[in-house]
Amino acid sequence: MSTIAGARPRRARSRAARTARAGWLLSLPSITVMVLLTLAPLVSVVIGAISADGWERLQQLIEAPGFTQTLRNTAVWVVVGTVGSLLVGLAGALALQHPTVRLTGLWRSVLLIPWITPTVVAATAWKWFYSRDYGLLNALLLEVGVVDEPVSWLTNTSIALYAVVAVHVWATFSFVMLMTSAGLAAIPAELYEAARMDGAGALRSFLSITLPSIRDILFIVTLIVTVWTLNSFLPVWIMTKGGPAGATNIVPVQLYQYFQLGDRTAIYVLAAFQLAFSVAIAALYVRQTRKEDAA
Amino acid sequence: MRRRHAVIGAVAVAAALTLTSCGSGGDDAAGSGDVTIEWWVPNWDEEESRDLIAQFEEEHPGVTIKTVVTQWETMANQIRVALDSGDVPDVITELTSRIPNYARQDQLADVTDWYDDAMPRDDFYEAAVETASFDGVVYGVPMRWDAGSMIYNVDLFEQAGLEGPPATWDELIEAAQAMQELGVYGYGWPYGDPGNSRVRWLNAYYTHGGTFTEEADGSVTIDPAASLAAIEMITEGFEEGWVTPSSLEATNTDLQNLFMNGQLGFYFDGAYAVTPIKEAGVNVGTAMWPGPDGPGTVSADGFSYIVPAGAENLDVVKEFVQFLALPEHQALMTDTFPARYSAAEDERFSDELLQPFLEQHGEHSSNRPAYPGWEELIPTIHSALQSVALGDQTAEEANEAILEHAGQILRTS
Repeated sequence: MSTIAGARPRRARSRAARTARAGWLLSLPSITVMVLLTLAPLVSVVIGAISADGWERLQQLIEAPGFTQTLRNTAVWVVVGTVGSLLVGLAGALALQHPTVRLTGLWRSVLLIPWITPTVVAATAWKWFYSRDYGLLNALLLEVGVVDEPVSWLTNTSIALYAVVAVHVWATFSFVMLMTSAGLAAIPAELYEAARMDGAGALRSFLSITLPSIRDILFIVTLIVTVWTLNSFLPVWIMTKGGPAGATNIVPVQLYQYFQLGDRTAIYVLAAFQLAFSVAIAALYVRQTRKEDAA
Repeated sequence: MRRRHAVIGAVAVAAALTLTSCGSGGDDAAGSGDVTIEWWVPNWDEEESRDLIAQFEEEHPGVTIKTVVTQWETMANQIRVALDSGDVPDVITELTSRIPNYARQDQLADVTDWYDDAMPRDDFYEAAVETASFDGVVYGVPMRWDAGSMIYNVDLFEQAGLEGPPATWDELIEAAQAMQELGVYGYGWPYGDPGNSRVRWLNAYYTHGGTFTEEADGSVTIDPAASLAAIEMITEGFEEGWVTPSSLEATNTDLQNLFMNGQLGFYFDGAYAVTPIKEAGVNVGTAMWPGPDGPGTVSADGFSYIVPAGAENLDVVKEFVQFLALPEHQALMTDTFPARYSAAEDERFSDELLQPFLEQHGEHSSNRPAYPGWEELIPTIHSALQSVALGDQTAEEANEAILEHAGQILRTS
């Protein structure tokens, strides 16, 4: 008779296995459909991109007017969009944690509004807000005397990309704020007290206690926001369609333009590029979560 | 054992539900002998389509017409995806100039023989039928054919002391400057929309005598001088201040709104805009859009009924399309003008305000090209016009970009 501590009776193990098997069987049809709907397009994109037509189309894309500008815009979009979301989100989370802030539940709800607003609605509203002659932003700036004439937020090639990135930051910072708030709440207050007693100021506490404590969360959030930003399409499409003169054209918008033209090979090539980047990010994410699980 | 049977049964139900949710509606013909025709109709035709459908179904018991409403912003993608996938309706109302793109890929039914005694070809604008054709085969039945012209604010013109609408380009500039002195902009361009931008370039290109030359090696060339003149024509005025800077973010609808709000003296638009502008209380006038020495040349386009290659019940579909194409039905359906001469005699088109449109598209218009690569030129032309309007590029530099890209992609087949 087995007397090993923790050994489950054979009947219980068999029942658990049957329950697990039943669960898998019931889920199998949905899982199969999801795998097919995910894998089939992925495989099709990869095969199309690495085919002879794909290589030839890649060379044509590289030589097409504006392609270098599109890549540069995409890099700016991803870096500024991600860093902006992180900074504003972290600032929001820190503000909500501050002891002097009251009604944090209400503030948290208000700050979540950008996150829950449908992107099409938000981008359309921002487009009107930014309108050169009829937008509220220019009306306010002219009224208070900050500017002497209307600013072409969406039609000035030097600032249009940043104007649209600001909308993306507005739409995504709430997610960063939520995630980092959870991490900040887990930091023991005694650490800050001890630091204060040792003469540490706010900045030193932030750098030596806050940041290290939420480092892992920040890393995960950075990866997620980076992928979102890379794949973000609607704000640019709704507000500028990649203009003026290609100043806001980014890879997802270019990809959609090729979809409109029915240029399948170009779609495969650009989609493969985005896929490769996203897979690299996802691999980092998986590695980090596995490290956390092991810890 | 009983539990195992229950699980297997549940799995089978789950699988069936999953597959059902993935499947399409399919043909929902009520019974043997009954036919259901699916028609993709644009939202601006939906109301009129209901009356015609009711009439057709009454005259053809056993035939049901099911409609799916399309929108301008998404119809091109929706139709392309349907034709590419093969999951197609029976009849689609589509922009005529896009027909050759589908015909080139063998995605449409040949309707050449549908032009018979019931629907004589010589009653249709030949330019419309040609545009709906590819390689000598007709793939569409045009139901609407039009081009834009000038819409102007009569009250603002009177305030500015102008005797009437401009008849030449120099007079147009004078009118714009007169509007500027009144504190409004002369006119605007829809450079916030790539497709509209290209049409404005094409209008100006034709006005300057531009043509598309098919070369022996299969390439298609653009006239450099006409293209440069076109760019210069439609980008002047930004720096001088008589063209609204909002042009760079405006669509044609935005320009219409600016006009209705008294912010523009005049602009280029289709006849469909006249009624809503009148209803907005604007004292509206219309005139032909000018060129350097008289009426300019504009690009004409319209809508046609097309039948996907996979459509079934072609006999019934043919009857339905010929029914829709009857003169009185074209006169009812079109928001601008019909594509048949006999339909254009309808009293609806006798409005004085519509006459300049009729004259411009009847005598001063040209078809839009349908060469492979033409659609791909849209972003290049759009970017070029915006660059010049912003002062980021000269007209010559922008023209070089258009010519270079056109040289790479425009082909005869």
